Amino acid sequence: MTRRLLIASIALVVLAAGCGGSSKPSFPTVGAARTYALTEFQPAGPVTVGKPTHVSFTIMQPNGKPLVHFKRGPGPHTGVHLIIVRRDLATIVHVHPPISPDGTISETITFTKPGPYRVVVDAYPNTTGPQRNFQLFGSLRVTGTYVPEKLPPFASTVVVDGYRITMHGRPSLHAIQAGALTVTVADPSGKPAEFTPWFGALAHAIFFRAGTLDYFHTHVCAPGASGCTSFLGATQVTGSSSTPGKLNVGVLVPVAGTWRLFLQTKVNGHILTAPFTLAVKP
Amino acid sequence: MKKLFPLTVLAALVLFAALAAVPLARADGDPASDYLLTQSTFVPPDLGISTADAARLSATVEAARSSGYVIHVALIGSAYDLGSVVALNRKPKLYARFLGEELAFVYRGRVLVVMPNGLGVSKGGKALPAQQKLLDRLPVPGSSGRRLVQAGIEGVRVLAAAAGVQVPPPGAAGASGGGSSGLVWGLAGGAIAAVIALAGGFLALRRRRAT
Repeated sequence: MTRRLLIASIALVVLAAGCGGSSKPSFPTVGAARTYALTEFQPAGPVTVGKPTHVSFTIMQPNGKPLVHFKRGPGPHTGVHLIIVRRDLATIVHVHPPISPDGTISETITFTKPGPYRVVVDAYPNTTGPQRNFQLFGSLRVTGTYVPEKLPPFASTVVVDGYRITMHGRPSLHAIQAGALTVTVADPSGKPAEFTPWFGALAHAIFFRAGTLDYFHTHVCAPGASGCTSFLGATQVTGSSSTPGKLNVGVLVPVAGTWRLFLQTKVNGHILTAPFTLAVKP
Repeated sequence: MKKLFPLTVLAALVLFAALAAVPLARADGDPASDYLLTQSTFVPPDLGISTADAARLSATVEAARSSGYVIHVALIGSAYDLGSVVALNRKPKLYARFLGEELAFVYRGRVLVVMPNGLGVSKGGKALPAQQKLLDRLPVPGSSGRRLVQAGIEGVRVLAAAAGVQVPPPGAAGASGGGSSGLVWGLAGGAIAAVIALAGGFLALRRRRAT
């Protein structure tokens, strides 16, 4: 009897979990065919290189009102990620700007290189329906002569502020095939770096495709980190780190081409951004 | 007690996996990958699809599932519905594989993607060429939400039929209510068959006694 009860319990748990497509249909309440939009974006004109610039905007909801409620909590899937990358992928800015009660999102940014930039607003609205995360795009121009920099070939080690960030093994990545990258970070004395959670994750892996600027973003999480990633998905499309100085970065690239990975982590108060050029085969 | 121990451990593991995995599991970027972890259909909110139409699609998927054909369906009306993987807009075959790969740790079944320019199908992140050919013969869905829903319904029915599972169109007799009505008809059929078998056995017994 106890055995039967246990088996029944297992079945009940599996059913309750909704695995294997056994979930009940759920119908989102839908409105008119309208979408979120980026509005009141500032600066409206060109930006001066080297000068602190106030960047601000509002996200307009499908109902025409500003979005003011965003996901909150300890993980990285919260608020707004503002990512601004130069068109040639030579430089990137990644911040999580504060959001005022009226929905205005603003941050002061100093651009160090002239040229055209792509603005990516990666937002996590506090909704319960299918629209849990979306991206909005814009552009801005930093004044000055723009000389596009050719992407360097893959280099396994990048040195940033004296820290050595090394990707182990030459990555063999294919489009739509999950892969993993092993990266170690050593401090200037050669010791494994101690990561500090930054914006809810131990590391952020931001990918842009050369030319088209296709974008996606994954996170590397501490074991048991709340709200950072999934229990199961952690090994595949996100990443993990349980060893000092070592990051396992999950990669699932949608299309082939040359991609630039900006791996960002916080070590001893330093925000390190390590760019890697990755060739992704079909 | 010795026999009970492994089951207890198994139960605890299943409980842990279910509780830990399902509510937290999320891929990064595209909303459909979040939604299809726990639901069978993804209907984006920006297409103006009515609740009734969304229900027709879900009922079809549920009817297929209750007959043993499990499939998850994502409707993608525009790049906006793809979140961070806009590179796969209007590439339903590739997005079906991508989505399947994202879901693979939780769900390794079939994934059907419907986009305005066509449909794509995968299983466990891999293309299904034979089934894809069937989908390629269907009319191009077009961009309206209603037509995407209809294409999704037709896609499920065509794929299920190829696997020997007949899924009636939603609203047809036996289609609404999905698994429950199927179960009722199955039980009724089983009961009739049992009565016939019993009657046959009874008659045979009487004949044997008579001779």
